[in-house]
Amino acid sequence: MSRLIACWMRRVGRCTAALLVPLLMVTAAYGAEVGSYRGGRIDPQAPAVMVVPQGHNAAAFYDGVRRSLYAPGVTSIQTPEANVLIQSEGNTWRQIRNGPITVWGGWLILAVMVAITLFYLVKGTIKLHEPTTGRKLLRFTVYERLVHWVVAISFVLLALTGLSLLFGKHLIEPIFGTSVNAALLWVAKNVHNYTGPLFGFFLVLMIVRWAKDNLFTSVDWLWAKKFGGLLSGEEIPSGRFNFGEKFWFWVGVTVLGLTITVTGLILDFPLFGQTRQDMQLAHIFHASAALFMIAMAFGHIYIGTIGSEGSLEGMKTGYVDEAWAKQHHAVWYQEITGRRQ
Amino acid sequence: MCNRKIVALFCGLTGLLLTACTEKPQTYTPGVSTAASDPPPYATPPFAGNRSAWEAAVSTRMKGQNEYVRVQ
Amino acid sequence: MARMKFVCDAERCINCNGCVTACKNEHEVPWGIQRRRVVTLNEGQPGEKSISVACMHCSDAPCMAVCPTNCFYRTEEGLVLHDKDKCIGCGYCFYACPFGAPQFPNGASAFAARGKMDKCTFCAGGPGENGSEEELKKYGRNRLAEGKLPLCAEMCSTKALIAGDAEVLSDIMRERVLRRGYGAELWGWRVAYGDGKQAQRGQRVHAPEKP
Ligand code: HEM
Ligand code: SF4
Ligand code: SF4
Ligand code: SF4
Repeated sequence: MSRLIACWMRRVGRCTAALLVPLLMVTAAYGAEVGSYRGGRIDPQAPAVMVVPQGHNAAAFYDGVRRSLYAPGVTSIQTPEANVLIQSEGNTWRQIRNGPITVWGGWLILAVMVAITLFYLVKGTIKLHEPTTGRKLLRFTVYERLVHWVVAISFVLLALTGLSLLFGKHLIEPIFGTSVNAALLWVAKNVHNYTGPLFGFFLVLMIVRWAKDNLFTSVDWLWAKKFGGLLSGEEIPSGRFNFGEKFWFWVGVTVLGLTITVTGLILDFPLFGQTRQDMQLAHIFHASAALFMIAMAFGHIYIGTIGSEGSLEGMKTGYVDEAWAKQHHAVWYQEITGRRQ
Repeated sequence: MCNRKIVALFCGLTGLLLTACTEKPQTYTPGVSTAASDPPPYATPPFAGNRSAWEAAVSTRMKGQNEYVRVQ
Repeated sequence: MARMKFVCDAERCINCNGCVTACKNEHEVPWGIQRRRVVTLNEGQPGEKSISVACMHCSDAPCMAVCPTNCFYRTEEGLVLHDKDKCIGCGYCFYACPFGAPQFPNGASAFAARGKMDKCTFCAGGPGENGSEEELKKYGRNRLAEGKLPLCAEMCSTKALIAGDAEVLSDIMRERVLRRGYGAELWGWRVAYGDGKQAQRGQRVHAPEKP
């Protein structure tokens, strides 16, 4: 039975990968499509003027206006982009947000939740093989723990509030009604908008602090090949951070985290002449990257709590037991104690 | 065994939940309002529920926009 | 009564901005918001065209589709109205609207702290009692409940901008096009009202092909 599920697990893993790649590709393709519209911008190559002959069919001209082929018009209204008669990319953005981002993003998160639940049911917690020694090693300084927890707590807040903006209409509203949903979303939007920059600032501190210890070394190759022994139960030696943690650090925290932060700040501070098109693109990248990061964070949170005995202690108290260090980070253990196993 | 059933059930239910996340059709059905609390324009004084009187009033104004009729 | 729509006849609009001013005044629209605006294409060139644009009250409205709080609703006459009490000022309707109709009183401010969205109501107010003080403050005057049409259209001096039942507007436009012999294109109609039955109704206003 458990073998069957383990085999299943591998399949789910492969399927998730098979889902991720097309999702990324479609997001990129859609992004390019939105980008291909030139609404709101004066295209240097576009003819500034297209003469509509009087008394003839002007349908082609209006079609061109619709597709933003010409320079925008002139208006006496002073609000930004008031001279743009029509921006068809607004509806394209609507289709992307309400289509792939909502539906596929939802699937992604559910798939990861199911996969982790299955993994836990089959494999359970990774236990310490040897009894704890009572001798403690310093793993994270106060500064490191502070940075980690500010990022973690603000991340969870941002994820919950961000997801409720995207899914509240589908999950909260049918149960509690429009007014409750609207009130919750008002809180969510404000919490999200004010927590964002805090998250971004501490995220940068985190990247700076841990980048060096996350550089890839030769031992990582073995870990990656054996998937950290997560399936076999083997313990693969690693430095201060193992390959899994490094992958999360570079792909999740650094690439996705910075993408979310940069696009989030663009959305948060519409003070620098952002056009609607800028906001649409920023939103698509923000929401897609956020959904991927949430999916990855599930794995990170799982392994840091119920997935592996003794891991949480390090980030809570700053110290880990020697037995834990030996089992999970043999190379690091050797480096800081000078002792071989 | 039981595990597998639970998992299958879980997958099925979450799948169902997600199908609810697609866009709902929002087509317009003439004469149907989706407002939670907005009385139709003819419901209150001066028309006080007399729908045909209201329709006649706006209709006159609509047709009055055609100056070819007015100047003839 | 069927579907309420706007038509702006670009062959007639003279860019006087009367509709813009009338709307501002009638509804005491806050600073920085124009529910209606006139855009001139090919300005100063032969073939210059001016078009008055506000919310088109779209059939498959993008604003409605993206609103996280679902605060939009559609009235019996097909108008797209919205509830300011439920609006969180996220700006999504503004990103999605093809016509630039939704606007915000605070303008662009830090932390996206926009006020409640405001847009053209087809002079039909909003939720709550018709013609009440509260409705007036939040949404402007409810002319429809007074048996009147949108002010912007009613005061248009050239009758470029007309508003009302789609069928009546079609009849007016058809007669116009037949008399002057050109200029049947209804700007923005297909975007706002789609290709379905309603567009077919729109098709009727096209002038017969001339040999
Ligand atoms: C990693 C943490 C974050 C997550 C998980 C996250 C997630 C999300 C999600 C899912 C949405 C909703 C998309 C939709 O409704 O279509 C959203 C919107 C948004 N996010 Fe984030 N976000 C994060 C970080 C940030 C940061 C760092 C900022 C700003 C610096 C930010 C600013 C925004 C803004 C302004 C919006 C638009 C929401 C609105 O205008 O009401 N987010 N975010
Ligand atoms: S014109 Fe804009 S605001 Fe009006 S219904 Fe269409 S999408 Fe919504
Ligand atoms: S700004 Fe208001 S009306 Fe517009 S999408 Fe957001 S909540 Fe809805
Ligand atoms: S219909 Fe009324 S609210 Fe809309 S633009 Fe005209 S005057 Fe303004």
